[in-house]
Amino acid sequence: MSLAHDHLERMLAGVGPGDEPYHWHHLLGVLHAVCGERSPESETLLRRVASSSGHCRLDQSEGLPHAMSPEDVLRSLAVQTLAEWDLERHRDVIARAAELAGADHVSAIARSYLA
Amino acid sequence: MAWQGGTVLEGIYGAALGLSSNCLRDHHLLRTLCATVMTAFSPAPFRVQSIAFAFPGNPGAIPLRDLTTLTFLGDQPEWTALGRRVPAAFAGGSRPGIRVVFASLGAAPAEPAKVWRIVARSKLGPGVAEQEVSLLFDQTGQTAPVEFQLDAALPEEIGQLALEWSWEASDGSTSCQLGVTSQELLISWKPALAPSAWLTSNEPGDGPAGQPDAVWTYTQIMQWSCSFAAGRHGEEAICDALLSGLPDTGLQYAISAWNVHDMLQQGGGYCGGWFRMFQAMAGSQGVAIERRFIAVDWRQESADEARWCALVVEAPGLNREKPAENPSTFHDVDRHPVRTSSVERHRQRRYRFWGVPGKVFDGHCVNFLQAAGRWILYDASFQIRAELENFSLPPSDPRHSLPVDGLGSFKEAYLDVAVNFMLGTLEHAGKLFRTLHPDPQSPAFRAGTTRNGLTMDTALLPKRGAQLTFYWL
Repeated sequence: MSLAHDHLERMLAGVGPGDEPYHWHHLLGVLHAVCGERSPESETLLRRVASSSGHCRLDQSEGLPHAMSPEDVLRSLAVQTLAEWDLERHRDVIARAAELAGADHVSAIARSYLA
Repeated sequence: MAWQGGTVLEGIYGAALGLSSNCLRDHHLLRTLCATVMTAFSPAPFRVQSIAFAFPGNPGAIPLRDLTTLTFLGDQPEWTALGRRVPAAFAGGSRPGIRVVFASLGAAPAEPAKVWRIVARSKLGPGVAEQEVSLLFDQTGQTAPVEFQLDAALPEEIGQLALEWSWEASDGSTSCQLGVTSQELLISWKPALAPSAWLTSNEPGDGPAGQPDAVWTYTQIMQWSCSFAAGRHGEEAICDALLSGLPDTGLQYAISAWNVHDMLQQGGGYCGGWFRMFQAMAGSQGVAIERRFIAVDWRQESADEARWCALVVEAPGLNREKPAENPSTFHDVDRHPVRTSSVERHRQRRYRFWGVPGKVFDGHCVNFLQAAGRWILYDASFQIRAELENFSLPPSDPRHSLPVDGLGSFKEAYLDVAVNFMLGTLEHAGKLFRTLHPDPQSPAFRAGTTRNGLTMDTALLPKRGAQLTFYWL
């Protein structure tokens, strides 16, 4: 799992795996791994993802998310995963994600857990 | 001065009319005009210096925001003698005022205020109602803005109105011509709707200075909507015209932008931007439409099978020749009988709108209009229109997905047309077709791409029993 965490850290920092940036399918693979199995490391990292206002640079040749920006995709999935794992513990970053989200449907997802 | 080589009178009117000195046609027109003027009018002692249209509080005005500077065109007079020419927008049928500044043409400003009757006549569209005004020129030779009213309401029809006003002034004993001014007006069907309907939180949202809640739109959006929907009446006719006109925007599908501002700057966007763009265009004409994000519901049905991992679309999207994804290998089942038909392998560019197991992730974004008792779906990204029967727009709910069999004709009227395949991890004829994303724990991760499972022709999937469910937000 540590490799998945490392990749996600690099994505958040806007750095690629090598000289080239990550592409959308890398991000999908990393999200499946990190969100698929609960661990203290994953929780810590997803809290950072949910409250991050940084920019995620992706190579566009493999496509990009359609309904929202990569940043909102990360935020949305982090919110849902953290809420599923321990809503009360992560309520603060879920509220932060609702504020940071560009797309209102991502805010709606976050707010649905806060209501 | 732009005009040279003619009489003094020609010089004055040439400058006021903005004619160039090196145009023979202008020269001829000007001599004709001056000959006419000399018979009926005296030389003008002042000219129109500027005209403001979309100033704060002007009835029917729709402030237009410049994409580059993010300022509003109406922050300064839209027409000036110095050459500023920008459009102004108004709701059809409104009767706005204008604010005019006059500039003295004499060597020294006239000392006391003097009363003039001023009018601007128009051959097409409203002119400026004759009004008695007291003009006092300050040290710079200009008056304070003088408010005039139009002599008729603006047309109640969507379009672009090119006004040309011939200004005249009279002090009771002498009359003079002040020149001709022109102005492009963009006329909407109804007052525009608040941009909060389509704005995202990371776009500039406030209205002009001093009126933060004013309803505004981007200049380009108003120009497009007035052009595409010119002469149309009614919400459905307007939305249909807007959809038809989308290719003329030049905006493309699958550009890295998810809101209206970024789309205008970057020349296109993904559906998360397009459904806002379409809503902004309709809203600029006063037409309220809904939008929904229809998210993939990836349901892990057993250890091996999952329905559905992604929507798969073959169409390239607006103003594109091919989908903006590298080719990948698909395993299609696209004929009856589904259970036994062979799997066709295709290596193609197709869009995949991905889900994530058990969560709201990606999906497609479209607009809805309720008209004449039924719902019409507008998919701006792929320029698709679908009339839906027995359909009610689902409320936004990020926690519960809905099966398509409860959505009237949504599947056959839209989904089967727009979404060619549904991608799943499925067993077919004894073989498991697994959808796999690159494994970050693997050394091959860097070069890895996603492996597609089985792609089922959407139209072949039964409405019931196919676990065809979506989240609606």
